[in-house]
Amino acid sequence: MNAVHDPSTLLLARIRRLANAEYDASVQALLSTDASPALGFPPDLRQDGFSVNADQRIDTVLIARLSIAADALTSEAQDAGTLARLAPCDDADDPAECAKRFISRFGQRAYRRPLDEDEAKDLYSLYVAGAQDATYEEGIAHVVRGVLQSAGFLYLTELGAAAGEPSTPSEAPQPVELTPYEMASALSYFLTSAPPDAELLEAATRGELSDPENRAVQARRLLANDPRARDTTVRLVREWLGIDRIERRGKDSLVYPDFASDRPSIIAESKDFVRAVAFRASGTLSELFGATWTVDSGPLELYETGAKGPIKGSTELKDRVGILNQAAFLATYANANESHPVFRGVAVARRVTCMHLDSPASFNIQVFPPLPDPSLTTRERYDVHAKDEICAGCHDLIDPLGFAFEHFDGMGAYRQKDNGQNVDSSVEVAFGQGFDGSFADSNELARTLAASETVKECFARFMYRAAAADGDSAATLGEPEFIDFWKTRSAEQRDSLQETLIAFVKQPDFGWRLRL
Amino acid sequence: MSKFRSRRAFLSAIGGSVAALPFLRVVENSYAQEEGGAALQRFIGVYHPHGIAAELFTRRDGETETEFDLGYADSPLQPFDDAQTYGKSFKDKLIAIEGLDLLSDTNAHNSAGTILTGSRIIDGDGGRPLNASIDQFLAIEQGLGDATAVSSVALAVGNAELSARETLSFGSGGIPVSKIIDPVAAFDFLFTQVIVGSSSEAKTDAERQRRLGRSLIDFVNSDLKRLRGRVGEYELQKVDQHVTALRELEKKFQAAQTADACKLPPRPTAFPALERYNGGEPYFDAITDLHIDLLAVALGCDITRFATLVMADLSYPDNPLGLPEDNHASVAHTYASSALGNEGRPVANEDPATWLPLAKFNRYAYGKVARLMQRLDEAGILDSTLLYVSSDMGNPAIHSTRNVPTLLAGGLGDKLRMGRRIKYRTDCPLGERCDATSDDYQTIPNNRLLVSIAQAFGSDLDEYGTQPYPTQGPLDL
Repeated sequence: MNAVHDPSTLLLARIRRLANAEYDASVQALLSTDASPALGFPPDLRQDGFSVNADQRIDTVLIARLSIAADALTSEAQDAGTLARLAPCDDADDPAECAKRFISRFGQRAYRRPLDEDEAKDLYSLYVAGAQDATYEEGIAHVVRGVLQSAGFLYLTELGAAAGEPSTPSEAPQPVELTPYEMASALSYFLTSAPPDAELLEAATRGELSDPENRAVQARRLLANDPRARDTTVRLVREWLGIDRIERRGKDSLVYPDFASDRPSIIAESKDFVRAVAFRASGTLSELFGATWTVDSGPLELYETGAKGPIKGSTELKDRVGILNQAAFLATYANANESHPVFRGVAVARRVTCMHLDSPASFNIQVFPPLPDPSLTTRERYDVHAKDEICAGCHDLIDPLGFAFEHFDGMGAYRQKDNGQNVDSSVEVAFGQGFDGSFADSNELARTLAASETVKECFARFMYRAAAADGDSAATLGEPEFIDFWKTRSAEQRDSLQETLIAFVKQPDFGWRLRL
Repeated sequence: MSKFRSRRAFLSAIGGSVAALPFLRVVENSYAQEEGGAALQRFIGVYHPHGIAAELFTRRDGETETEFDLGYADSPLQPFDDAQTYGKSFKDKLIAIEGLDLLSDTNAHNSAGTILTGSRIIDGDGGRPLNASIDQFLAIEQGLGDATAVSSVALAVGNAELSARETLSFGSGGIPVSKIIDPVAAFDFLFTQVIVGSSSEAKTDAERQRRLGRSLIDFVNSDLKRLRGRVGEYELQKVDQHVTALRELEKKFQAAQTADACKLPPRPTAFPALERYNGGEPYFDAITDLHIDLLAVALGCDITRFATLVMADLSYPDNPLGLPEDNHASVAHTYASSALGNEGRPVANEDPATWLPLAKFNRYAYGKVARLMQRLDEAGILDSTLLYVSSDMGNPAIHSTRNVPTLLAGGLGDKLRMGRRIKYRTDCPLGERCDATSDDYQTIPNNRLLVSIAQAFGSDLDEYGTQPYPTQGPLDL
C-alpha cells in the first residue's frame, strides 16, 4: 500500500457513463463526423448542477436512442467512406485478417485503451454475423454498431489494473492506481469532454501520466490548443453558477415584454463572457466577478454601457460589476414575474462562497411564499423571514446577499423603483468569511467577492466536485485534501481559472481510487 | 358484465383490422393469461401542475361518500360526469380524496417527485427522492412489466429535464426514469421495433434482422457481464439497470410478425417545437392529447401496463383556456383561498373570484384525464387500469403540500370501491406550522395510498416510501 494515498480520502473505484456532450464528442472523434446524436437523447441527469456525473444511467429510453444513433452513425460512416478508410482490405487480403486488424485499431480508439482478448473475440463474432450472407463491409459495419453500444465505449472506467477479479468481502479496501489509459481518459474528459487525443494516448502508453508534472504539461497543452477545452471550461463555470439554466427559463411577457427578444444575447453572454475572461483577458476569478465590461454579444441594450472594453469585442459597463450582475445570473435566480432575493442569496451563499446552508426541509417546516402585495417592495415582502425565529437562523445570512441585487429586476434590468417605491439595496453582510461589511448594492458586494480568497477556494471546491462527479457536495471524498494541495499554489495560480483546473489534474491523488 | 372483454371484442372495438405489429406474441400471451382468469392490472400515474382551488374541489355540504354531484357550477370535476363530451359518465369510476398530504420538501417545488415515491426530497433544487416510484416498483422490481414488450413508459409535456420538480417515475435508489416529450418518439418507443441496418434489404430480410439483432444483444450482454465482474458491489445497480434496459431492447429486436393484432394509430407528425420556453407551448394541448391517445393504445394492445404522464401548465399567450399567459404567477399565486384552502387557518383576504381561473385550469387537467378514461374504456380496459392523478401542491399560492388533490380513477376489478368522495381532515391543528414530527400532527401522507396501491397489485408490504417516521399502513379504499 502506498502511504501517500490515504484510503480514507480517495474517491471510490467506479464506472461513469458518458454524458450527452461527451458521447457526441466521442463519436465525432471516432468516426470523423459532425453529427450530434445526443441532442435527441434524454437530457443529462444533473448532480449538484453538473451534467457530467457518476449517476448517469442507461435506461430503456436511452438504450433505444443509443441503438438508433449507432445505426445512423454507422450508415453515415459507410456512405461517407469513413469505414472504407478505417477498415481497408485489398482483394488479395484475407477479409478475416482485415477485420481483426480493424477491430484491434478501432476498438482501441473507441475504448480508449487496448482491447483484451475476449473483447476482440466478441467483436469478431459481430463481424462474422454481419458478414454472413453479405459482405466484408457489412461485417465491419456491424462491428461499429456493436462498439457504439458497448459498455467499453459508453462507460469510463476508474477501476485500475488490479480490477481483474471481483473483490472478496474479506479483502480490505485497497488504494488502486488507475491504468495509464484510464488516467488519460480522466484527464481528457475532465478538461475537454472528449476522448484523449493521440499525443495524450502516447504519453499514457509511455507510462508518463503517473507523474503530476507530465499531467500538467498535457493539461496546459489541451487548454492552449483544443477548442473543446475552452468549451468545457465555459460549461464548468456555467454549471457551477447555475447560469446555464437560463436556457430553460421563461418570463411573464406582460411583466417582461423584452425578455424573449433579449434572451438569445443573455444566453450568449453567459458563455462568451466566461470564455473571454478565461482565455482572452486575465483568466482570473477576480475578473470574472469584478469585471466592469462585458462581451458585445451580450444584452447591451439592458445595460448602461460606456467606452470600448479592454479586449476586442467588449464594452465597458457603468451599472454593473462581474458575472453575478449580468442578466443570466439575475434572470435565472428570479421568478417569471419578479426578482427573487432568496434564490439569489442562496446561490451566492452556496455556490459562490461555499457557505453550508441546511435545507429548510430538514426542519420539517413548510415555506409560504410571500403573497403578491402591490403596496410593498419585493424586499419588504421577503423580509418576513426575519420575523420568524426558525427561518431567521439562515435567512439573516442569506437575505442580505439577495437584497443587494434588488436594483436588478427579474430579467436583470436596472431599476430605481420597485412597486413604485425606491429600491433599497443596502445590506450588511456578517459571515466571518472574509467578505463582511456594509454594501450599497450588489456591485459593491461583487467587488469584494472578486477579491475574496473564500470565493477562489469555493471555485476550487466546485471544480473538485465537478471532476469527482459523485454528486455529494456535502462530503466529497478527498475534497479537503485537494483544497490543502490547492492552497500550496501561488496566489496567481489560485486566482486563475485554468490553473485551478490544472491543479486538479496535478494533485497527488488524481490517479488513485479506493477499491472496496 | 365481465370485467374484461374478450380479445376479439376489444379488437373490433378499436377497429380490428389487420396490421403489422411487432409485438404480437406478447399480446397473445397476455390475453391468454387474462382469459385464463388472473386479472391483468395496469397503472397510470398522472401529474398536473398548480394544485387546486379547494373550495370548488371539495365535497359539498349535505353530500356523502357515495351520494354526490360533480356537475355543479365551476366544478373542476365536471368532466368526470360529462357523457356528452367523453362518451359516458365516469362518476362511478372515480375516488376523489381530500386531505391527503405529500411529505416532500419545504417549498413544495419538488413534490411531483414525492407523488409516486412517498419520499422526502431533501436537497432542494436538484434534490431527488430516495426510493423507486410505485410504477417502477411494480413494473421492474416486482416484475409485473416483464410480460409486455415495454415494461413501462414515462411521458411528459414540454419538459424532459429529470428533476424532481416535474418527474413522476424513479428507478431503484430514486434515479429518475427518462421522460419522452415528443409524441413521435413515444410512438416509436412504444410501437416500433428497432431495425438493424439501414439498407432496404436489411429492412426486408427478417431472418437477417433477427440474427443481427440477436448478435448485438449477445455482444452487449457479454460485454456487460465482463464489466459487472470488475466493479464494486455499490456499482452493480448501474450495470443491472443497463442489463434490464438491454432486455427491453431485445424485445424490440424481435422480428416483426405480421398477423391480426391491434390497429395502430398513424405515426404522429413531428411538432415544430416541443420544449417549454423554447417555442413548444402552443403545441402542449395537442401533445397532451396525442400522448393520451398513444397511451390508451399501448395499454389496450398490452404493449405496456405501466405508464406515467406529466402534464404541463398553459403559460403562454392565447392559451386555449383564455387564462392569463403566466399561469404560475397570475393564476396559481393569486389564488386567495378561504380557510378550507389554507389548511384550516383563518384568512383575511379570501377572494372567490380568484378560485375561478384556478378551477378552470383544474377542469382542463381533469378533462384530459377524462379523455384518457374514455380511450381506456373504448379499449375495454378501464376497469383494470388504475389511474392515480395528483398535483404537487394543495393551495399553490402558499405552496402547501397538504390537502393535495388526489384522484383514483378507472379501477382494479373489485379491489377498490370506486364511485366515492373521501374526505380526510384538511386542517393543520398546530396553528402557524404543521410540524410533521409532532404527535398531534394529523397528516395523512400519500405514502398510505401508495401502500394501498402496492397491496392492490399483490404486494404484501405495509410501508412505502422514505419518511422519518412510520406512515401507518394502507388507507381503507
